[in-house]
Amino acid sequence: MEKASILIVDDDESILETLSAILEEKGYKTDTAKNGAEAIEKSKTSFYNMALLDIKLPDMEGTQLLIKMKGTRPKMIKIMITGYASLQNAIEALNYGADAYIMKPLDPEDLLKVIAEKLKMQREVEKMNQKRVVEWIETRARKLERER
Amino acid sequence: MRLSFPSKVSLIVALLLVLSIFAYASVSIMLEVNKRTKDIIDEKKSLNELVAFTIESAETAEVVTWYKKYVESAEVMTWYKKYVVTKVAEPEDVVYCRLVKPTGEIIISNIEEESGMFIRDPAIATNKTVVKDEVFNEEKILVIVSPTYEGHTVWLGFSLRKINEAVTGMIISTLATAMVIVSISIPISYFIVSRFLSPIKELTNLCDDISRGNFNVQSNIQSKDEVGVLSNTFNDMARKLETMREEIRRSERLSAIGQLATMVGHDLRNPLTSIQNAAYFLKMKLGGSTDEKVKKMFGIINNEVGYANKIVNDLLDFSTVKKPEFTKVNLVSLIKDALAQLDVPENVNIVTKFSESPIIEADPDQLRRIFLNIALNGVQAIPNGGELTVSTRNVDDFVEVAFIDTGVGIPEENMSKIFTPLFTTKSKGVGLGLCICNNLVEGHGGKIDVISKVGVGSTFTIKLPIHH
Repeated sequence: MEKASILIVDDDESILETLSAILEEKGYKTDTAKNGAEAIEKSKTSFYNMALLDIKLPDMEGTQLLIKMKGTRPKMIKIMITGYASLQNAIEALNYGADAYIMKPLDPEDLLKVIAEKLKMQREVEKMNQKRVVEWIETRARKLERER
Repeated sequence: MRLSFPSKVSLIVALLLVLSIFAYASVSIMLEVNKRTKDIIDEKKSLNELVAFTIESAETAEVVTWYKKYVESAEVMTWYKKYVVTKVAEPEDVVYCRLVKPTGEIIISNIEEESGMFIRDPAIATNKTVVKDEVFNEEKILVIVSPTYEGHTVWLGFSLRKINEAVTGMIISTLATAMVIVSISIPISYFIVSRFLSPIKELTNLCDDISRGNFNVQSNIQSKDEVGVLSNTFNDMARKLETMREEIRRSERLSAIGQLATMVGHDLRNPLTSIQNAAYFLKMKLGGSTDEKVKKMFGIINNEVGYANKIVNDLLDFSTVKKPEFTKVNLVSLIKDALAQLDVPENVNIVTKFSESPIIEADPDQLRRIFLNIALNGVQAIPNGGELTVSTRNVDDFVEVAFIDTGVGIPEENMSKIFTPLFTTKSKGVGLGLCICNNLVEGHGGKIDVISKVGVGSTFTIKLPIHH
């Protein structure tokens, strides 16, 4: 199976480095962006299964980035990392289209769990879609055959 | 020019006094003048009528007829008339006394040069005494005309100089009185008003003190009038200002702590996350290491990062006022949840005594944190082993959760400080736990009571309303 790729967006270099080290060690492909603009640029040119977005970025709010990415990459899983545990932040993140939110300080264990879960879901959806396409093609083919 | 209050009052008093003196004086002078004028007219009238009668009787009476036999009458008569007229005109205020013919010719006058002159005046034909005024030698005088024998008239002119002099005298004495009264009343009223104002002056000085920031002042004015009330109000105000300033200082201190806490909390969050991540990565890499020390070190990093995170969370909790999100919660299961998160040392025994499990309206997250925090304090207060009893009790519309430990207890001097931020007796802790608990409980409309005795233990009772 191909490695899942994850884009990590945070303005803190140490976090980017340590997170990508952990994720790569766990077998994911990672890329990093230090701000919203860079993240948008990268998501346009490359494909990512998932993005981890910090809610506070130097050039825009995480929620704004969320909206923009929802437009360009609707299928990409978007996980919001909220700085401070508050219901308000969480609700906001989900309302803006995040697939999940996780609170700082991150417990790597929790993060890995969420990432694995979401990727699994994504794969299943994909599989289902593929199956549907296959089924559709098959029915079409049978139909064509009968007609002939 | 700016006048002081006593000066203004004394000037006003003096002015009022002068006005009333003048009003009184002018009325009484007017009345006096009228009375004197009337008296003098009456007097002169009687005198003139007497002269007229005397001359008439000399001219017509029997006795004179008899007398005429012996004297060369016309000559004597003239002399007699002249004598009477001159006598009557003797007093200083009489200007003239004349005997006038019905034709208007002056027959006899005390003023020689007038004899033979004519008067053109309707009064020459009067048949009863009349009073009239005229100007004589540029002086305004009164004239009384009385009829006498055969259409003749007697004219008596007199001046009112006396009355005018009297009036002038009266005005002068009024002025003098007014001046005396004013010169006495000004200092007296100034003195009295100053006396009345002295408490106000005292209060003004105290107000000055307050404006300079010295709120610790009290006025000693004891009186039952308005000034006394003002003084009491002032004292009240000073006391309240003092307590308000204390409160402001406290809240300023708290807000400064809060701002610092938020800053520190946010800034620490990222490095802590990085440390945690880095440690996790190293653990993954070296996880298989058999070196016990390496494992132990990872354990320490993990625990300490966890503890640091807790401090950060406490700081942020303390500085961010979070409104409770009320839902219906089962109190007992919340307490059980909290106790389950508690690390209980082996020598501490947890005893629970729950009343019928009440459902209350509260924020479950906040309550769990309160219970965990208080229970943790309890356990930490029992270093040498003992018991922590957690009980609930329903009291009217409230529910009470009591945490009773058999620990070291809180010394009396610390009792008042335990809820203040940054107060701690523990080697590990920033001293925000109880303060946060207190804030959260107050946010629920409840309160925390503490009873403690050194060497016996402490009881923390959290009283929460059942309905929000």
